[in-house]
Amino acid sequence: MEGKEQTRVNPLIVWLFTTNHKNVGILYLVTSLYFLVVAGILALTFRIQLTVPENNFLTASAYNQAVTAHGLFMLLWVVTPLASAFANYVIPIQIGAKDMAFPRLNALSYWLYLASGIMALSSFFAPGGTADWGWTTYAPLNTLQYSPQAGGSLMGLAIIILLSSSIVATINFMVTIFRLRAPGMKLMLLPLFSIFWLVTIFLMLWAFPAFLAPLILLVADRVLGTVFFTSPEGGALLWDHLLWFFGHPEVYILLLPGLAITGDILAVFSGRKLYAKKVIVGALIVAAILSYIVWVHHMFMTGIHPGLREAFNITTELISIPFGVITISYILTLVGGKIRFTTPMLFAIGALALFIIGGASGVFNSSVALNFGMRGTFWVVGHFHYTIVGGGITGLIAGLYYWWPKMTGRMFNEKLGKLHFIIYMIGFNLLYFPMHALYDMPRRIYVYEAATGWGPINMLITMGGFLFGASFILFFWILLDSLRRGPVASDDPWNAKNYSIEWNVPSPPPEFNFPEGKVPVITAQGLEFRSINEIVGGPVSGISARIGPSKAPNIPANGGTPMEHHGPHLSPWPFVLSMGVAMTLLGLFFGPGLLILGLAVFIGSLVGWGWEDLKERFHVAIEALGEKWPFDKVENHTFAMWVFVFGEIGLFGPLFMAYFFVRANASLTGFAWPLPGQIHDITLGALNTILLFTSGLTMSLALIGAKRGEEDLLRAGLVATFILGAVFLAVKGFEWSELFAEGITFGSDISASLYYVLTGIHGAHVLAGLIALIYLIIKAYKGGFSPHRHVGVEAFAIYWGMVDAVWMFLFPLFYLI
Amino acid sequence: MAAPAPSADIWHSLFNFYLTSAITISAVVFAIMIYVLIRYRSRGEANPGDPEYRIGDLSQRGSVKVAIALTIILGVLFLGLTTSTFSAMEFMEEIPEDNPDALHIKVLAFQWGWRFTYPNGKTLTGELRVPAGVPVILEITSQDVFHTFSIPAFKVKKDAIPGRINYAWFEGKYAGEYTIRCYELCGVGHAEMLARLLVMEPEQFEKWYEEFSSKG
Repeated sequence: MEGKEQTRVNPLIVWLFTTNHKNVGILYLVTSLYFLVVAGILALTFRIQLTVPENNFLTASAYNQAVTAHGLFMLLWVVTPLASAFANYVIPIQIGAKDMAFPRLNALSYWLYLASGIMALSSFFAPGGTADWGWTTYAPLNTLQYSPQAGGSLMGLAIIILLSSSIVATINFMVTIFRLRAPGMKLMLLPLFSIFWLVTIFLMLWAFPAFLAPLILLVADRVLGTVFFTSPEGGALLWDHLLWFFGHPEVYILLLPGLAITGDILAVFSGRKLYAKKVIVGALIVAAILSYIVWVHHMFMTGIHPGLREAFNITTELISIPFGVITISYILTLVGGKIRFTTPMLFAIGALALFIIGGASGVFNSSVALNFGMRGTFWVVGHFHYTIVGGGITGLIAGLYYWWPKMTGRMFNEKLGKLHFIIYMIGFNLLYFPMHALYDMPRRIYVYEAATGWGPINMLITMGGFLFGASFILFFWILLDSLRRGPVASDDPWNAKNYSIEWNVPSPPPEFNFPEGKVPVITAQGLEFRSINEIVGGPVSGISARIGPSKAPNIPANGGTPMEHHGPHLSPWPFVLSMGVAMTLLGLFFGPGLLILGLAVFIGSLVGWGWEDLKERFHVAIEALGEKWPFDKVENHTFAMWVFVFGEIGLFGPLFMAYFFVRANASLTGFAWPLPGQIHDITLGALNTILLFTSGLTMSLALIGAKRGEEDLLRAGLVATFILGAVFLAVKGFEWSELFAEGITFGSDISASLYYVLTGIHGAHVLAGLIALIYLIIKAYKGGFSPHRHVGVEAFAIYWGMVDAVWMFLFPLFYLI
Repeated sequence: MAAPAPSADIWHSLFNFYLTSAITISAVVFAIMIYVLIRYRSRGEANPGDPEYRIGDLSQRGSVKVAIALTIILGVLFLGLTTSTFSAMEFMEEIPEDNPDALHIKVLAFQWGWRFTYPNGKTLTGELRVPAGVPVILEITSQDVFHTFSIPAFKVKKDAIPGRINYAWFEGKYAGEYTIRCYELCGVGHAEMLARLLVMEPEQFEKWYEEFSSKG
């Protein structure tokens, strides 16, 4: 049996090569807690600096680096990855799936996350130290001219890799939650954590690529010498708009998982249904949509039009309404229950209480008039720590206590847990509440004069900070103590088996989550585990029809367990590929040897991954049955590609917005935008348009060939597409080299910067497409596709269509107008 | 305590109004929450009994009417609070351009300090002298990175952005000395990016300004 095979593998290899969602979840958990400690210690160092006026514990530069890294680590490497830990571990079980839709991509998300973390930590050791411009990275302080340290560029690259990891995870979760639910598991039946996570990843799908866009521009400025943030046509406001368009959805990305766990725990430990669950979910969706149209409230003082300010003032305040509704529904949930004050419940109640305070201080911030005082002060710091730490992280800690017995099979010491809660709450409030009294003290100053009178309050805040820090030492001790000698946990230690599926399986759950050969089925009576025969009521041969190539589960003739994994489902490639990426990018800063080695590892891992697929060495458990609303008709890989394309809108949308922003400003600053044909040869542009457009047609022919089983047409189509794409790139390369010969380089002016970076990003997409095409062509010549197994071709056709579509915008923008 | 500027008066009364509302609303919510937690606490039954929820149960608890009522109450409350600040915003934003007595100052932020240019074309660095009781109109910009100009005691604040001019205004009620600070991280000198604001009696200011103008 599978399990026995596994036990023979070296445990280190298992952890490095695992693709099991529960293992990946634990990797996320451990890594995010590590970064929590790092970012927490950074915070304590700058709190020491601020304890008394005119202190000199840290230099200004060290202080700025600590503040910046603290913010970036907490926002990007702690909160969301900690939430991802639970999402990875729990959500497949909650929806009734045996694993994620794409286990190797899931592992890839984690290893890219770790790779980005290694890069971020390394940036401290790069010449000149790491980024020191505050997590908001305002332009033009973030440019080489004002912040020359190499570590800043490395930090930028680290964030780009982190965001890539999140985008991969987003697509995976989207497919998993929509397509892998157990029979009868309608979306509204899911616990809040799964529902809120679905909304969170919808936010991520646009917000993270939208952050990728300005970061690519920034790294281009710093590494290639483009002028996006140094020229007056782009500059400070371009960064501001792009950052904050990402920034507000990001706030909810941080908050929602903790808030969701809070709601689930309140219901479980009061024994009551959630009050008005549909209203909670509706309010959540409204808040998520609103989060995309409030970003200007971070820019009230930038001198934008007052009418706009009033509009954004109102949209911002509107957000209070859905969150008010959610908060009150949570409180009403408890009414009529029998509330058990366990440690997770105490933290959930604490999270709700702190979130209410954070919400109240947020109402102040939405007012433009009050912003004349609040903007850039410790009041704001107090506010967002109450929401993100108070509402978000406290909720996640509640979640860790709640799921700890499930994940480890051990109980923890309840008394110590309650003590932790008390110290945590006292420390938290001592740390963050007095910040509201510092509504005149600027953020991010490393020193202040005694005459300001801010000393005593800062002393109090630092004491609170150390108490809060101490609560985490107790926290980790409780966890370690539980691992060492905690009593064995039952399947359902919290009496929550009627609430969600994970409490109906052993603690920790078996490798494929559910009893041998069975799958969960949800009926009006509740949860049952049934064998596959009972569900389909007969032979299961029809099921495989909709399953993709190389992923077809071996459905035994006896109809036993079609979802069973066969062969090893360890894969080294997610790990190796991520380390290749990290080495390559670190090599840019720490030596060409590392760079070359990294590139070799990276290319090798791509070949290895493709080889693994061609040989069908890796099999995925795919539920052929169950709830897939509203995406019943589309296959997993195709759906994943659609999600990816949707996410690309989040990248190219802001890039095009940047273009129009710059063009609009160019008319104000009097910048002479090159006339059509003046710099970029319209004939060559038109030639490339025709090439790419034709390649779209040949790709469609290839897809038709695949669908009809006409192998010659498929092969010819793929090869033609490859050739046309390669010629496109060659023409592009010729154009670039001609421009360079004429002395027009990345940094010549803003129009050149835009041209090189936008067409460069598009060219990178073409190149990635060509690499994928090589794989498809090899597979086609090996007879790997058939009318029923061609999702690879179909998914690639969607991708190629997007690449075409982007060029249809780029061509007129740079060649014709 | 009377604030030293009309903008600060308005700001503080608005802040107090918000504070009162926030404390009242939070107190009500917390009171309800604490009551619920105590009233419905488990009284130590060994077996907590069967919970109300069940996997697969789509039936809803709660009423739509409550949700709608709640939304309307919260909407009126929050939007009322917000729109009530628009007049304050307009006062703080409205540049008194038509006032012939207004003093126009160009403010240049740089790493790390403030330079003030008077109508006579002369500049002061690190110090701004203005007469009491006269509106001062600021044209704010930056020569390098993003800074934020502020006179915290007056609740006056505006971003100083390179390549862009932003306007702000203030009026000091009484003669006195105040601090001008930067409120956006702008590099290692951010904490020390201070300037002195000297609000002077009008006669004294006139006298000083004449001397200042006539100096070579």
